[in-house]
Amino acid sequence: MIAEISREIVGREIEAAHMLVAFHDGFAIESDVYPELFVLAKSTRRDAIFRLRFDVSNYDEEPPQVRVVDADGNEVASSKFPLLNNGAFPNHNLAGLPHFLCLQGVRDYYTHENHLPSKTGLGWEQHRRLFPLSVVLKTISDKFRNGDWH
Amino acid sequence: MERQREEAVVPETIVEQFGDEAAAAPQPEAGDKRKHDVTIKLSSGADHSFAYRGDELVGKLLADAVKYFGDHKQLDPNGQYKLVSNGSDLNVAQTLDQAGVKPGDVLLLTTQAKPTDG
Repeated sequence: MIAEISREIVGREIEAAHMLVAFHDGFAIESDVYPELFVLAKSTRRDAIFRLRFDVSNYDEEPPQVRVVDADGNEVASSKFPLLNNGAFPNHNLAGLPHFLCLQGVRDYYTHENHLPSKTGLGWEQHRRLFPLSVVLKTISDKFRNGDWH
Repeated sequence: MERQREEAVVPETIVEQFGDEAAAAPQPEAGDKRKHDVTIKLSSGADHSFAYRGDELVGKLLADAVKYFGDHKQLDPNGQYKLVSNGSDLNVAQTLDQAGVKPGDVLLLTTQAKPTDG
């Protein structure tokens, strides 16, 4: 996909995410320079703020990749990763990740061994209209706000 | 006891549920009778202005919007959608007045589906 078209699509999705009130004090855009969107997500259950990097290159031919990164942009260690309902997020062996934000509409979801489209019959093509970036942002925002992710 | 045939018919889309004028008859005794415009927008950036009375149901407006954007190949008319105003989902069973929709408002038409995790 031509980067300019992808950038335009991403811009509209971020505008729609604002209309969904995905962004607030606890879930705020730190920077938005295509193809990377950085969002700060505050835990409501722990004294922690997580930095999420949305790699939206080639969106929406590909879903966004969402990773938890440190201030230097490096993926964080296990001890710095958010929790999923007091437990650990699953690992992603094929991507070499000890944990990943396992969510439909996110790039790593479709490359996980349990969700490979060749096994499930459901890939990004089936989810693209259901889970656009605006809905993914709103969903992640809600999960941090209601404490499911913390 | 044999159930009536109508009870077995479950509306599959918002257009089937609210697209029929008779099924969504406005409440005549209440609400603003004047036509006003609201703009409905898709996350793709497409938008369109719809003229409605305040006493018409949100569901009717949603059905008309889905049909319009479906006819223009901008969404799948068989999908499940909702209207969102200022971050809140509008109740399809309320009138636009009851839902707090004001003339000139911009509403977002988006998917009802939520991605699941884990």
